[in-house]
Amino acid sequence: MNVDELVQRCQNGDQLAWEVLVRRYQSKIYGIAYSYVGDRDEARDLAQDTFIKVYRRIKSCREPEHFTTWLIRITRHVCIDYLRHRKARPAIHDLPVDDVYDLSSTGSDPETDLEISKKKELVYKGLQKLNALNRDVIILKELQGMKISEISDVMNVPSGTIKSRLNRARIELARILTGLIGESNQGMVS
Amino acid sequence: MTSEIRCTWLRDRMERFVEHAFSQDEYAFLEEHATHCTDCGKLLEILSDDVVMPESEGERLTECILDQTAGRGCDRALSLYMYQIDDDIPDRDRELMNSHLRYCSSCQEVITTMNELFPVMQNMAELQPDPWFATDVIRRTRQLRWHERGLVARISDWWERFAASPQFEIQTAYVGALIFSLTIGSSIPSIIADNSIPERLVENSRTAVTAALSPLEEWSDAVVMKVEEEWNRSGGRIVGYAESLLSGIRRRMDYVAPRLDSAENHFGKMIDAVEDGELLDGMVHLAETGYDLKNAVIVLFTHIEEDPCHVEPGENIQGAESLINTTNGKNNSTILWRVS
Repeated sequence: MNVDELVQRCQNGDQLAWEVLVRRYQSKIYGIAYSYVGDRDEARDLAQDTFIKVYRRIKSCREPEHFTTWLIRITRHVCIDYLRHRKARPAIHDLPVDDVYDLSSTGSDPETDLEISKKKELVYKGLQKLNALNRDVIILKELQGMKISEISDVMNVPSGTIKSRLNRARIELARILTGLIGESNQGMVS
Repeated sequence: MTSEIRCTWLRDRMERFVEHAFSQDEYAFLEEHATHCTDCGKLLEILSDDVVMPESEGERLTECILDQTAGRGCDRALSLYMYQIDDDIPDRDRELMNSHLRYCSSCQEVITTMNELFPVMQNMAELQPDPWFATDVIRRTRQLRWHERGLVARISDWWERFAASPQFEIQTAYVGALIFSLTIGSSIPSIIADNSIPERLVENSRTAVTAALSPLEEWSDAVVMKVEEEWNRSGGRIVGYAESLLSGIRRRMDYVAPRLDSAENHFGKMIDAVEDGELLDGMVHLAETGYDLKNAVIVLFTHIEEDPCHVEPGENIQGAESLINTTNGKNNSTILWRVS
């Protein structure tokens, strides 16, 4: 069943359709939340809050064909609100090995998986160090693969602004990651 | 003349200096400035020697000059590099960018990192939560729905699900029978034993439930009125349930109507059995349809038959609970819970 139909069924109060919708989008919402906060427990709570909001507002989704964008917009608002209220961002801890392994998705060679997992972990750490605006645009563009026009719609900012912000964000992230790699290499040497 | 102005003065005349076109005064001024300015001193030293400059020294010099003038072009070069990921950039800009990147080690490092790590982000759109996540969300939304909607609406929702279930007709007959039995309570044995008072009760309940299962529009009124008249002493809850069931049934009338005929048939047999003093036979008829309430029905009426004088409505519910526990069907528990 396609998303349009699922959403329409949810709007008509079909609980089974809602369950399918939750299961279909749980990884996406959780992934976005984790990208924003970098903590599994917090991401879980935020993802749940997002679904609650979606459930309450699903009748206001007037364009079911653009449900994913609508969903991402709500997730983003939930995460940004949370980060605004979080007084001090806790230090980013190294993820437990099991968690690191979870971050990979290839399911092929364990060594390759581990390498990819480490890269992902590094990116997640880098995201936490990014300026909030830059992180926002990186998550939507690079992680979620949204088009500039869609990001513009979600963030309610002109496309040109998104493009220039994206450039700055990429540069900042690349420099942060370079620094993290340098720190990591120094740690290995010492 | 300030040091900065002197540096600017020198750079403006660098080409003339290299071509040995400086005047004596200009040389004197430059030498005097070079004693104070390290960068210009180094520049003067290098340019004064007619030696081939090592490449690394040349790069350092270039960096030195760039730092002192417009600042290094790293931001601009990286910005162009990022732009070209999504959009094409003019050839001239590309040339400038490549020219910078060829010599700037820090930018090369940043770009290497980027090329290595950015592709990974394409696989980071999703992250699998723990296996209980979806269940927790669904439970929370169900609670939310439960709390935000009124009791009647909740029961109507339940009814809609109930009416859509494959064994609707049997379940309907069962629910009718259960309501009938629980509300009559300890009267059942006396109905059978004494024909005076309970006759009216049986007749009213028969009318109410039969009306409920046949003409849908009349169902609620009949059930509400009759049940209210006869059994409001049981707490009045059944009235609310009946109203809820009606509103639910109305919404699904087309779907439910043909199936109710079947339910009515089953229920009619049970009512006939009650009137003949063979209630248990009536319930066994339901059980014989293959529905998994078979054990439940038998246990319930065995319980009532064994202890006919002490079965109050509340106790009936407990008895029914125990009977429901003997079955495996989840719907049975739900039905009982709703009814109780």
